[in-house]
Amino acid sequence: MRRGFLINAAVLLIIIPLLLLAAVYEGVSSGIMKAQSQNILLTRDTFAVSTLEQDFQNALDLSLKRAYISLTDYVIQNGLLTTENASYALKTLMMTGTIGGIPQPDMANVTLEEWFNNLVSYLTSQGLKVYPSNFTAFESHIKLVVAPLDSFHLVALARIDNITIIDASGRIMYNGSVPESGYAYSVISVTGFEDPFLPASLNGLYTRVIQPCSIPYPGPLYGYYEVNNVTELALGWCYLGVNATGTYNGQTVYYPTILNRFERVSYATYIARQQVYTSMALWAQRELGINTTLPVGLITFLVPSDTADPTLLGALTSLGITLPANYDSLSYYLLNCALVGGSYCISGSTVNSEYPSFKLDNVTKLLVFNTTG
Amino acid sequence: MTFEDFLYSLGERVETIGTSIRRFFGLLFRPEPSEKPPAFRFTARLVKRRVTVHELISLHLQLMFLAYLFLNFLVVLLTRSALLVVLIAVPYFTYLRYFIGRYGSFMLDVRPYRFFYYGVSLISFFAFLGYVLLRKLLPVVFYYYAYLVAVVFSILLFWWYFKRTFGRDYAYGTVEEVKGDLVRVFVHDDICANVKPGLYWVPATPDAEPGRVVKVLVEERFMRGAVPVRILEVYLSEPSQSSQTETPPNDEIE
Repeated sequence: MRRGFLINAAVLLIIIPLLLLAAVYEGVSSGIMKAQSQNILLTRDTFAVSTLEQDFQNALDLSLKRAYISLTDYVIQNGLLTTENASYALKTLMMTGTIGGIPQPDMANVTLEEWFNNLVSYLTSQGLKVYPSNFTAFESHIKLVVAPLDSFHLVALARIDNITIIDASGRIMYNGSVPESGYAYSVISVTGFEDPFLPASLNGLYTRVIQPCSIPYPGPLYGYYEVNNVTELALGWCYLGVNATGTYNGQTVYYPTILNRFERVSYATYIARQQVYTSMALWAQRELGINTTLPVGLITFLVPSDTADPTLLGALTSLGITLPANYDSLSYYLLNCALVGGSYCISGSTVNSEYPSFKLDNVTKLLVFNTTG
Repeated sequence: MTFEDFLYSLGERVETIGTSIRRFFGLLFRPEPSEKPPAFRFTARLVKRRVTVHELISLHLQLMFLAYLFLNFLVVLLTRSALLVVLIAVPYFTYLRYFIGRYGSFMLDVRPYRFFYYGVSLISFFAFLGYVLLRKLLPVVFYYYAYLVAVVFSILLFWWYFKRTFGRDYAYGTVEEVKGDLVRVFVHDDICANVKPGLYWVPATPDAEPGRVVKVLVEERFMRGAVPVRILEVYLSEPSQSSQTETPPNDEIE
C-alpha cells in the first residue's frame, strides 16, 4: 500500500447509500420471510383453534341431546327432581354425566369431561401442552348454562375462558377463550320427546309426547282458538307455548317452562325457579341475537272424563287421586294441586259445554281464546 | 499518615476530580484549540509509516465516521430503533465537534474537512433516522427504494456542492528526490483535490529540486481518487499565500 491508508472522500460518500441499501434489502427480505413464516403459523394456529371450536361445538351438541334424554329417562324412572333444579341437573349431566353424584349410563363418552380429557391427550400426542391441564381446573374455566330458549326449545350456551396452548418450545400458540368471542351454543327441540311431568306424576300410567298444537303460540300474532271449537285442545294432547306469566283481573298465573316440567317443588320454589328460567331464557335469546322476546311457557291440558280421556281418568282413579270440583285443566296445576296442594290449586271453570271436564282459569282463557267467557 | 493528613489528601483528590470533570465537560462542549497535537493512541497504531499529524487527524476523522456509519447500520439492521439512532448520534456529534474544534488547527486547512465530515455525518444521521421512521410508518417496499434514491440524490448534491466550493484540480507537494526525468513528490492528504497522501512519481521540471514545494496537477479517476500527474509550478521559496503548503519539515515525513 503505497499511498492508501485513507479511503478517498467519494468512496466514503458511496458507503452511506450502500449500507442503507443493505439495510433495506435485508429488511425487505427478512420482512418477506417473516410474513411467510407468520402466514404458515397463522394457518396452523387458526387450523388448530377453529378445529378446537368445531370440536367443542360438536361435543356440546351431542352432550346436550344425551343429557336431555338422560334426564327425561331419569325423571320418568325415579320421579321428578325435588331438590336439584333441572338446569343444573342438565349441566352436571353434560359436564360429568352424573345426577346427584350418580353416573348415568346414557352419558358414557359424551360428557364434556370426556371431551376435555380426549383433547388433552390428543394435543399432548401432538407435542402441545394445554392449560388448564386437568378437568378439575378446567371446570373453573368453563361457563355452561342450560336454559329454555322458547317454549319448545332448550339451549346450552358454553364458553371456555382463558385456555392456553403451548408448543414444545414454550411458544404460546393460542391464548384466549373458546370460542374466541361470545358463546358456543347448541339448541335442541323438545318436540317429539316424552313430557317428563305427566308420567312422573302419574306413576307411568299416563304419558304424552310433546307436540305443538295447530296454533302453537296463541296470541295476537298467530291468532286465538275459538271458544266453540276446543276439540283439539281437549282431545289432541297437544302443547301450547305461552308467555311465562299471564294476568287478568288481579290474578297472575305462572306458566311452567320445559325445565319446570322436570321438577316437583313447593309453589314458592316453583315461582322462584320459573322466574329464574324465564330470565335465563331472555338472556339466552339475546346472546343468540334474538331481539324479540319469545314465549317460554309450555302447557298442555288434562281433561279427566270418561268420554274425553278415559286413560287419564283411569290413571287418576287407580292412584287414588281425587280432584277438586273446580280444578284447572292446566296439567301442571291440576296434578300439582292433587299431589302437592296449596297455592297450586287454582280454580277453573268450564270453557265449552261440549267438554264439561275441560276447565280453565280466566287468565289462561284470555291467553288462549282472547276471551274470558 | 495522620487522620488529618488523610482527610486533606481526600479533599485534594475530590477537588482535582471536580476540576478535571469540569474541564472535561468544558472542553467537550466548548472546545478550544489545543497546543499539543493529539496522541492518537489507537489511530497511530494503524499506520506503519511515520506520517504527519495532518494525515493522522484525517484518518482519525475517517475512522470515526466509518465506525459511526457501521454502528448505525447495525442498529438499523438489528433493532430498527429511532431512539438508538439518536442516542448514537449525540455522543458522535459531540465528539466530532470537540475533536475538530480542538485539533483542527493541526490540519493544513481544516475548513473543507470540517464541512465534509459535518455534512456526511448529518446526511447519514438523517438517512438512517429517516429509514427507521419510514419502516415504522409505511410497510410498502416501494417507498424504501424511493427513499434510497432520494438519499443518493442528496449525497450527489452534497458532493457537487463540496466540489464547487472547495474542489481543486491541483495539490501541493514537496519534492523528495529527482531521478533522471522523474521527480518523486510527497503530497499530503488533500480532500479538496481528493488526493490520498503519499509519494508520487511525476515528470521532472527544471527547478524541481529536493525540498522544494511544488504545485502539481491532479487527474481525477472515477471512484479511485485523484493522482498527481505533473508539476505545474515550482516555488523557489515558501509561497506566501499557502496555508495549504504549510508542510511539516521533511525529516518528519522520512
